[in-house]
Amino acid sequence: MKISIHISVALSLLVVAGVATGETFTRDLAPDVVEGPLRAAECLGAADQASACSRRALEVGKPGGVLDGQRFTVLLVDGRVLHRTCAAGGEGRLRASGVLYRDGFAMSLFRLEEDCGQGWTAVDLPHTGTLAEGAAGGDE
Amino acid sequence: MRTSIYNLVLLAVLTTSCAGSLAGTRKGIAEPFDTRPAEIEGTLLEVRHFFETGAIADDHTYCAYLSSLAEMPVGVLTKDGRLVILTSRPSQIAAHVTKVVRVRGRQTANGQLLVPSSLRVKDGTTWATARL
Repeated sequence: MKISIHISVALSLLVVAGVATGETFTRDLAPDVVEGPLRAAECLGAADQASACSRRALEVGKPGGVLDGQRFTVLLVDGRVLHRTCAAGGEGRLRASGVLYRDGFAMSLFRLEEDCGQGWTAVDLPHTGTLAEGAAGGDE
Repeated sequence: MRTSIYNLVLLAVLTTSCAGSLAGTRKGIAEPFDTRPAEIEGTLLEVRHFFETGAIADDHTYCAYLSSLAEMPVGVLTKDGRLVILTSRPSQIAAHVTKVVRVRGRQTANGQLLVPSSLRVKDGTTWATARL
C-alpha cells in the first residue's frame, strides 16, 4: 500500500514536471513548425519600414526568417527563395517545417508553405542542391 | 466576515507587489531584437551544415565555401561555443569561410544576430580587412 502511494506520487510529479517544461512523453518524429510573417534578419529593428527593408535584403540573398512573437527563427536557405514568396510583400505568412536548432535560433527546412490569403500552398525549394547553384555562379 | 476582509487585504497586497516587481523587471530588460555595438571573434562557418553535422572546416571547407556562395546563411562560432548569425550577404564573404574572423557591428540583445559593419580576417599573425 505504502509503495503504491509512493509510485503514484512519483508519477504525478513526473507528469507535473513534463507539463511545466512543455515536454510530452510521446515525442514523435514530426518536424518542428514555425509560423508567422517573414523578415530579413537585418530588418528586425526596422519597425516602420520592415517590409521594404526585407524585400531589398532578401532579393540579394541576405538571410531571412519567421518572426513568431518574440522569437525569430532564421531559415537556413538562400534568402532569394524567401523573396519569391508572397510573404516578402509583407501581407502573407510563412509556415516552415524542419529541424529547429538551439530553441528556435535557426531551422533546416523540410518544407515551406505560404499563405497569401487563400490557404496554405507549398513553396518550391530548389536550393536544397546548393552546391550546383554555388558552382553555377552565386557570386554575382 | 473578518476572514474575507483579511483575504481581500492579502490579495490587494500581493497584486500590488507583483505588479511592482514586474514593472521593475521590464524596465531592465532589452527587447530581444534591440541592437548594441559589438565585436565578436571566432570561426566563420556555414550555419546549416554546422548545425546538421557539426562540420566546420577540413574536409568540409570546399562544401562550406560553395554553400556560402549559394547564399546559405553564415555565422561566427566563438571560442566559448556561441554561434552568432551574420545578416550580411553570405556570398560576399564566402572566400573567408572556415577562417578566424573579427566582425564588428550591431548585435541583437539576445545574441542571435549581428549586423556587420566591418570584417577582419586572421592571416597568420596579422588581421586583414575584408570587404563585406
